[in-house]
Amino acid sequence: MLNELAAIISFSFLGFLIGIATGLIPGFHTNNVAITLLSLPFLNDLKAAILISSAAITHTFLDIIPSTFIGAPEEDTALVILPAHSMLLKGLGYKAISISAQASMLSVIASFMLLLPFKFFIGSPINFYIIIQKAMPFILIAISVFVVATSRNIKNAFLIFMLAGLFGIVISHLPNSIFPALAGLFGASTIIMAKKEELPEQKIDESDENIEGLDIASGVLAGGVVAILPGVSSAIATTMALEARKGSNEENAIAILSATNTATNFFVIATLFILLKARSGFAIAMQHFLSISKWNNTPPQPLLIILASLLLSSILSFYATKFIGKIIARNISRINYSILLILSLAIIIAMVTIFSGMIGLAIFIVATIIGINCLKMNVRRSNLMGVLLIPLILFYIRLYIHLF
Amino acid sequence: MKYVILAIAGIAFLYGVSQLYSPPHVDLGNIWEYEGKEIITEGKIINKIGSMFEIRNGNYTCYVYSWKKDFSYGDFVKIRGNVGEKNGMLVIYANEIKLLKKWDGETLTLPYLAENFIDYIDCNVSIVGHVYDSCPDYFYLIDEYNVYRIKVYYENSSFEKFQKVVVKGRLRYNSHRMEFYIEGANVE
Repeated sequence: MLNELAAIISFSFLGFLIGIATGLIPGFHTNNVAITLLSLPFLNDLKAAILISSAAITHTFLDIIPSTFIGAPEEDTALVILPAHSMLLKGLGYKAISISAQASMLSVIASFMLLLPFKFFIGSPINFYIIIQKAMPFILIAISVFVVATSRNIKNAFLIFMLAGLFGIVISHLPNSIFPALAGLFGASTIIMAKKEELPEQKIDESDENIEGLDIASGVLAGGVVAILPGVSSAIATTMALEARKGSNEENAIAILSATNTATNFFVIATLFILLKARSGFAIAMQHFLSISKWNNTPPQPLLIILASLLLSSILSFYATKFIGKIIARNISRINYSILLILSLAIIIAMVTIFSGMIGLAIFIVATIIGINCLKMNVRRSNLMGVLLIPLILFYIRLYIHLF
Repeated sequence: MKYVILAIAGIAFLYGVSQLYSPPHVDLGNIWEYEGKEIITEGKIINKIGSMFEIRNGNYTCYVYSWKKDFSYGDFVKIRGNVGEKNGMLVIYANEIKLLKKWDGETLTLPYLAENFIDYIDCNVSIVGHVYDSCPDYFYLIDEYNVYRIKVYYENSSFEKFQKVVVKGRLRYNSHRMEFYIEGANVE
């Protein structure tokens, strides 16, 4: 019994360390690690599932750090770049990270509290996910219309949205295209168009960090929706959550986005046991390692153990994010801002080349041009989410025709 | 405007690249690793229902949704499509289907079919053999040594005993009677 407990704690900790690495390296996702782990012969059963789920949840805490300091986005942090980077330029980079860590932690707690209602809604007999799946093309079209129609210059916003959508359709046929696309649309374009100013000294102040319950609630709700629907990524969830909480400031936006990302991975794990459906690469790997038994009346024991390890990893990740963020914030203003921008761009290009090759680099360049278009036309950047929304709308329309 | 034109030119270039790019070739048994992604796979058509058909390769089967319907049971096809889900099952939404081998491209002997029935069950087959025990609605097809035989449903069958024929029809299995038979046959 003690040996088993020690193994669970050790594998949670190992997963936490892997999550730190994947979170801090732009473009390096937990899914890459999970697929690699499949080939390791000494990993099996529950221990591997604990390791993967811990890494996945830790990743959602740590990935705010490269997004804030070097503007390198992943699918789930694309929209967080603008508010986080904007806070960095005000000397509040650490505050952005601290808010994100708190929002992720609160999101885990809220997700735990909502686990039973979640199970009740998506499981039999309500099968809420079938209702949502039916409505999904209309929800996505409504979000798209809302994103474009609430922009200041609707004509330009529509042009950018459609341009991004067309780009999204074309790259959906190419491998490993999401990271270079988002890195170009949201990351590199911001860096290239950034004003060459001095980076102020970063304040390490933890007072005055107010996170609204509504931000966490909308994030957790969006995360829950994403976790049950095939093809809907956390980037779509963050768009949904942000549009639902329109008018929020930078701090609210960071809290919403971070809560959404963490809740998404939490509910992906729950969905694996409730519906026996893997909605993410890491869940597919878990399914491979573990013989998943369905959660009917009482939660299966492996789920309870995984949830305990998630809680442990989340607490560790909360402190690790704040600790690493504090170290970087203290030292980043020593670097000349222009050099930091060049360095950031070089890191993003290097990561795109490593993870996506020459095709990825071509995608990245075109995405950067579209991102620059968006900035030059003074269009809100959520319109660039057309890159994911339009291909997904087409996917769901196709599904709708076949299903209903 | 300059940047818009540049972006459109870039998208056009990527479209060209995407036409050259081929998605991974995946065995039917491994498509679960590619949910949401585009793949290429191959299989033999064993079932057709509306816009959906079922393919089989080895021990694995999968449903495929396609607008293209002009295929027959037993045709070996190459499918390029996205792996998705329907009613809890993995399915492929086909973007492109190519016929690799038409089912009647080879004519089989009864002993060969008997030894490899797993590859042909529910598929159209073309079999050469001799007529035995002819009745109005069916006859038995036997090999030249009368070791193997199979029931062939064929209306108005008026053949001479031991007449050599080529039967083209769908190989089926009746689980209640535990016997194989050929349905919807044409006889030449």
